[in-house]
Amino acid sequence: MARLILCFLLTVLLFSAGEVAAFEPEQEFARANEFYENQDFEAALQIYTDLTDRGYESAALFYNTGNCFFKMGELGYAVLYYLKARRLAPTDDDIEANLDFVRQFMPTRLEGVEVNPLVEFLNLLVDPFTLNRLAWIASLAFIIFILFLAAVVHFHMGGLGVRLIGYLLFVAMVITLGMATYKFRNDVLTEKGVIIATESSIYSAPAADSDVEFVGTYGLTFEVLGAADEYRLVVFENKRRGWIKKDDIEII
Amino acid sequence: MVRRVPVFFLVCVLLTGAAFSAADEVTVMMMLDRNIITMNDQARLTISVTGAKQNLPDPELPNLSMFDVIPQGTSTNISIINGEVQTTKSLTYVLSPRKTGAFVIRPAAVIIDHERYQSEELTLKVLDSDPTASSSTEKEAELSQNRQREVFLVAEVDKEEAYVNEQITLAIKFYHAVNLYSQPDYTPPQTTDFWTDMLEPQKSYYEMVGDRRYKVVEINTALFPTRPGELSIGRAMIQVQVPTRRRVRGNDPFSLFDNFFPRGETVTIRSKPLEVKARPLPTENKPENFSGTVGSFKITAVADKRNVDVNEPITVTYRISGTGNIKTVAEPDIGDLKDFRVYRASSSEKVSKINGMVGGTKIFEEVFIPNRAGKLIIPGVAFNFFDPVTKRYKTITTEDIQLTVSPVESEDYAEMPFRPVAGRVVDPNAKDIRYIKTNADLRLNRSLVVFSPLYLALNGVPVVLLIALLFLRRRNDRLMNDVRYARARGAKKMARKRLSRARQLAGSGNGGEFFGEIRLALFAYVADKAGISPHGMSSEQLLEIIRKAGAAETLIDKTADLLRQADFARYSSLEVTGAQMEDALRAAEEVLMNMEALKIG
Repeated sequence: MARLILCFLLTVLLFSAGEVAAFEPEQEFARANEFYENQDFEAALQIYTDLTDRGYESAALFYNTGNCFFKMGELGYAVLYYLKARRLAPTDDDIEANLDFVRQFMPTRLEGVEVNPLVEFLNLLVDPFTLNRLAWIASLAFIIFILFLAAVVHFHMGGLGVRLIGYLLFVAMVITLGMATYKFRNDVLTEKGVIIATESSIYSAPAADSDVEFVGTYGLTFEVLGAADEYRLVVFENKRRGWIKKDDIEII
Repeated sequence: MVRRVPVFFLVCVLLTGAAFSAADEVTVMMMLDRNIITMNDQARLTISVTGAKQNLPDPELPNLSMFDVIPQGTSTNISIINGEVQTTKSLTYVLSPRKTGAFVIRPAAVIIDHERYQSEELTLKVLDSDPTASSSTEKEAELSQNRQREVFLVAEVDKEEAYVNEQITLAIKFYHAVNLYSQPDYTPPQTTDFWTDMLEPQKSYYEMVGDRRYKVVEINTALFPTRPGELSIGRAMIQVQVPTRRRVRGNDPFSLFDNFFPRGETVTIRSKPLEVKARPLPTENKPENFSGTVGSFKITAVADKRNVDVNEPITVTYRISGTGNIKTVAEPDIGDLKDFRVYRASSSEKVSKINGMVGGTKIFEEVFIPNRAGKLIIPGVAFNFFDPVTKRYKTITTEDIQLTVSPVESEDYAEMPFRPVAGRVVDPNAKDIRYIKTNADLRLNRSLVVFSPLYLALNGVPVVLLIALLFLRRRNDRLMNDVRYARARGAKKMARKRLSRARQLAGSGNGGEFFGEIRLALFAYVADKAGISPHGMSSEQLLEIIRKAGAAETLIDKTADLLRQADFARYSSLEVTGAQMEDALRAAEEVLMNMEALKIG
């Protein structure tokens, strides 16, 4: 009996310890929020970045980190963290509002941005979803289609109605799979970044003595195309490309 | 005849062997288009590697340090003759000599399959001056030399002296008095001490030289000397196919047809090398921040607005235009301005070539963001260049740009580290970022769901199910429609049923019926597997079927024994013991199990 009680106590202790461990980052997050409330942005940022370094992530964590950076005058980093947050919560209105707000303070903006109507349409379709959510939707469409085929095979189903449903399910599967693939390409296969330096020269070659094509400022976003030593080949939204020092940028 | 046959075979074998060895052989050849050149001349070196491999490696170049080497490209030719692949890789280089003398070019080599193959060595003689060159200084003398020729090339410059970075126009004129059989292959002259800019389009006109009318194609290039001194312009070269000169074949009546079937020959013509003198820019009155621009230019500065708020950007466009090497025009020096933050927004250039002169416009856009309110001035920018016409340095300055900068009226941004850039305010009511979030929703390294085992399993299971159902349906369809297949599939099950029944009969002590069931189990099994009827099948036929199916002798013997035993028990009056039936049952099970491994039918 004594052993049973001991086992029970040990189990309770273990579970409660687990629960304490599970709440710890949440408590730290709350503590950082308190610092922020008291306008100690540096202390708040320290905790937020510590949580990130420990492998934790959430839209709220990145959003709050972005807020701290903004309050400390690091607009490049603020944009970076809002974009990280948006990737996890694409429909969050607060993230979008703060991103727009911060961009008011960016000294330069890209001229001559031409948006491909097809790309714009695809973005309109996939932007409201996270990659994981789209993957689940595509998976659901796929499973329903396959189960439908299995039912057709097993129960010897036929006729116009069955064929029509089959076509509809197939189209739904192709569309959702296409959307998920497009999102995967955008979010995973394509490396995107932000200029965090106050000013950064974009060179024609990966060398400091090459021609300066133009000068970018903090907050400008780009796609990374290649790398060479201390430089990254990047293309901006207006299709201008060049080599930028890797220390001047951060990858989203 | 008998003696000739071995000889014939021997010859065939030798020839085949020779053919194979030739196919496997790798040859490296090195050729020069000329063996003697002058200091102002160029030679074309071609290295060819031929072999049976499709991917031949590049040959190791010999030491060519006594020449300036300009690679001209690589070509690969693959031919398949009677199934044999023959690849030839050719690399061409233009050699410009650095000094006079006779130079030995060591063999070029290639290593294939640990074997080294190399070419012969060559000698190239470089003379101080062209022995065939005319000592005449006049173009007419050169032209008189060319007068008798059908095609020739002339190089001319518009001036023999110029300042560094001043334009010299080089004209390469291709004269031809005959029809050309091929598109001329033009190699421009070497101009290592110049910036070059092709002046397009090429001109085409007719010109009389002596009493002969030539068509002239003129290619003009603008040259800008990069350093002072005596600078040389190499030879331009054209390769073209022209009609072959034929002798009149006396009274040959067929000479009439010569004009119907004209033949061509490839000729290579070169222009004479030229020398120009590049004068250094004068040091007298040279501005301090002179950046080397030569020509005639003007500069303007235009601001996109003059009344702004604090932190509102003003874009000033500096436009430098004129005649000269526009590509070397440097960004105007704005200097440090304490009232503004300055950013370079963009720069662009547009090169124009009007009346054979290079010029154009270079535009620099600078963004000025005022730090404070008040009447501020963006000071004029000085731009200087050297004018080769007046031979003087000139400094031109843009006008000051006066701005009225108003303070930001709202105090809403007072707490912020930055001021918003006017014109970019998305929501005038939004005076700060939105507040932080309190719901942490923290997770450790959210991995992509598409790589999670659960996701893969969830998507994989329906696919496996579908495949299984398809397989099942196909099997059922076959069982329904293919009787032989159905019998073969059910043979084992039926045999087991019969053996089970035999076991029951063994328990009841009915030996005759027991062995009858054993016999039927064996015959029905083999017949079902073979797709034939068991009725009328003899023991010999059964044994023959399993023998053909690859049964081992022990299995055949065991089956034969079992059948004999069954026949004996069924037709003799002797009583069968329980132990005998038990043995027979075991033997039947073993035989059937072994038969399962055979491919009967």
